[in-house]
Amino acid sequence: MSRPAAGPDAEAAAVVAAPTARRTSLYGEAWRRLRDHRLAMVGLAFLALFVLAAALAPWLAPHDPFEIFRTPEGRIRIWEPPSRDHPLGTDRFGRDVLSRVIYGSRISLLVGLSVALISATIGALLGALAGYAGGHLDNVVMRFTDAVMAFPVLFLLITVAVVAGPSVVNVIVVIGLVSWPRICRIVRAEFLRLREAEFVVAARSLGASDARITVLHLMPNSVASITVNVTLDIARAILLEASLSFLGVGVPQPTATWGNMLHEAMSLTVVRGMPWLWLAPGTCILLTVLSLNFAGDGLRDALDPRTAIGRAARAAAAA
Amino acid sequence: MSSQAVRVALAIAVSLSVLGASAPGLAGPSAPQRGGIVRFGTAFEPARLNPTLYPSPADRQVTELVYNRLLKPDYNMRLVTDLAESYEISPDKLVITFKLRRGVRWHDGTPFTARDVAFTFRSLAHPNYAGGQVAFASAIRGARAYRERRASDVEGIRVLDDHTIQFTLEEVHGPALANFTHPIIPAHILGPVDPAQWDRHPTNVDRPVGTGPFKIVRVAVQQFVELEANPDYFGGRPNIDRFIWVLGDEAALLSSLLAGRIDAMAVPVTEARTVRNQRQLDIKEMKANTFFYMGFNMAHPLFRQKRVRQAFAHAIDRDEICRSALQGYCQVVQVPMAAPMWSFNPDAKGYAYDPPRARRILEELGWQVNPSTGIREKDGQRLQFEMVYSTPIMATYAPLIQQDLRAVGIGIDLVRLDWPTMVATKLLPRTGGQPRAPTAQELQTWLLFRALLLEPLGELHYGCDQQPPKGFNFTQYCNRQVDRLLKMQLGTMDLSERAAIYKRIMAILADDIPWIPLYSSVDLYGYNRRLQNFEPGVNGVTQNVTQWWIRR
Repeated sequence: MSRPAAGPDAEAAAVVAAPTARRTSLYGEAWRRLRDHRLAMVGLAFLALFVLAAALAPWLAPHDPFEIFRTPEGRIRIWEPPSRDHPLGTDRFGRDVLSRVIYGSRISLLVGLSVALISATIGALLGALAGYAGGHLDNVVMRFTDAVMAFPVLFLLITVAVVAGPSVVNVIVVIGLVSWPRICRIVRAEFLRLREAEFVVAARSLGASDARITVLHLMPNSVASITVNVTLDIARAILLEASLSFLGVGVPQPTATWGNMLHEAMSLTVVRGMPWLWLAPGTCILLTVLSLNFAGDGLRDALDPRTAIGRAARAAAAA
Repeated sequence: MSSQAVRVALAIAVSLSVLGASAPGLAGPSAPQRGGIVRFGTAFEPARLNPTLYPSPADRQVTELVYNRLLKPDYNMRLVTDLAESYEISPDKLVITFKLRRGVRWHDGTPFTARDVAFTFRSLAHPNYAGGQVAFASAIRGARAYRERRASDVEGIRVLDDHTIQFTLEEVHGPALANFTHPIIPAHILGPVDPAQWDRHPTNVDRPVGTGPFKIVRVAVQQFVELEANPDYFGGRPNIDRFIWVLGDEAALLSSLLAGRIDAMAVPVTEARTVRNQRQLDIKEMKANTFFYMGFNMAHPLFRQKRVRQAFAHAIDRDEICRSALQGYCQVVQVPMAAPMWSFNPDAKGYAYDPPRARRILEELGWQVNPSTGIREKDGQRLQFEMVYSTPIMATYAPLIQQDLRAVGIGIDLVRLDWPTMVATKLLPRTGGQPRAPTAQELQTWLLFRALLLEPLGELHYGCDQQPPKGFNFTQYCNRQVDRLLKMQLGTMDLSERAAIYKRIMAILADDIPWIPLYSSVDLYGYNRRLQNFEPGVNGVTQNVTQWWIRR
């Protein structure tokens, strides 16, 4: 395999390489750009709320999410519409829907972050290996990546859930193990591009080891694109967990998750007559995923100098 | 007549038909009209149309319309004649002689005779027959010898003439008459075929030939099974022209019912409200021959203590399970038996919901609540158990049982498994390929149901010698008195005598509680009001199908 030509990328690489010397100003610049991105800010604000709700669930939730409420005569309060005691009503076991929605954010957050951690770790390691080593190893890793990407993820997840039994841990591990290829490809591309950059060549000619070059020079320069993709991965993981739980093969009851709360909405009676059971969890999934996508977009624009340069160039051309 | 008045009249007609359940063919608001198609939705696809081959409930739904038996259960589960005209039992209770209906023809025109009956029961005992229905023939003298190839024919089956057949039994057998409710299959078609090949024969796949009210026209796999009325049916030609079983998943069928594309279907309790809210639809409630229970594995030393079992029973609020999770469509029972069965005992005394009493029992046994967990402990052992279950309906109340038990200091871990996994890992685990009784670690408590046909079959579930792999006594319960009574009822054919003995068995089981009986279930059938005379029976939704008609 021939080494990629340095030519067209050299300029961009130089631009990337130069600001690393004044890192604070790069991130300061990025933050300024992010602040101007209105949708991203709205997304981040909602995400802050979401994290806060997850962290403070025991104090925010009006009730224990597992408690089954009864009338004074001992009858279970099933399917009660919203009231002062239960602002979002009760489910078919007489549990408080609002408390379950709030506690559900914890599962979504846990699944999202854990999956992102797993996929970023695997993706970055394999991507770095493939991109830096090149040759046969690159070929093997990338074909393996293609194979994993070609997996019908939902069927794989359902099969694992059926064989190994549904649980939060299984959901996290399986989603994590199938969602790393995107990050892997991006890290590889970055490494391919950067390893011919002048500052890397310089480091190498000064006698820096491969490990040192990878850890101190290449990785920090790939962080921006990894961050953006991790954000999108969190969103994908939350959506996948919700889909699995909706199908009844994700996180099992009685743990509250937005997905398994929506599972109830498979009943025609619930869909038609009891919107309080599915409106809130559905809206939460929608808003969280949307916010993550906005934030990811904003981060991409803010962190990627090329888009900024492109914008500046377009502005210059227009002028 | 205003629609209000029609509804009142209908309500009266329905309540009358429930009261006089043995005569359900009431005329209704107007005389039956002939013609029309009934589309009946079902989520369960039939797999085998030969009723001798492992009939599932889905298969039975269809074959019920195609085949007849010598005797059949009526609305009260008493046996009445079907293909038989009359029958006679000899004074020593060993010989049963059936006089058969004359003029009955198979769907292909061939006359039905006693040879078909003899063929059916001989086939069930045939050495090459493998369809799981051997028990229907095993009481007949010589059936075992024939099956084991020690005889060339079944000694106890004798065709006296074209319309008379005589069966001789090995010994007096209480449930013997119930064996003659097995569907009769055509000798002229299946006679030349080796029973080992029946599963691939067209009569099993899509061309069954019976004597019943409907003939199969077309089997469209995963779509529908279409039947047409048999104009020569001996019970009278059905009013409707066609009967179509529409296959589909529950949600899709339900929207078809709401849209009027199908006429009727079984409706889950959680959707009853939606169906009731539709003016053109109504619901028939039918006491099903099914009951649900919670089982204890007595391999566990704690569950061998009756007082521990009593504490569980006092702690569970079964009335509330019935009211809330099942929306009231159920009947709480104190005995492990379905309410419509003759063996049911409505007067048996069980254990009422009484949490303070449950707590007192556990205190007296020395189990103290650990304040940090809320679970009782004694000598370093915790009152914490696993409860396995499998079906969606159980998932609606398993958490309620868990909460009730927790309130008295018993911890329950809920484990939901799919049915094959539950059997393979919990109820009938295997060692070296051999099924065996589960250990106390493998199985502690579980939720399960029994769907009964005609016979209570208590001996298979409570007999001391019926622990797995031989029978279904997963509980590993053994009570010599129950054993003796079970044998006693098998020795008499008098149903009232058997019922009296069974009531005693039930009273003992209610007191001993190897199982906590939960409830006897009620099946719901949603139907379009244009479908008239629709009266599902305990033994089949199409019990009076020939009297159904469509109002146009």
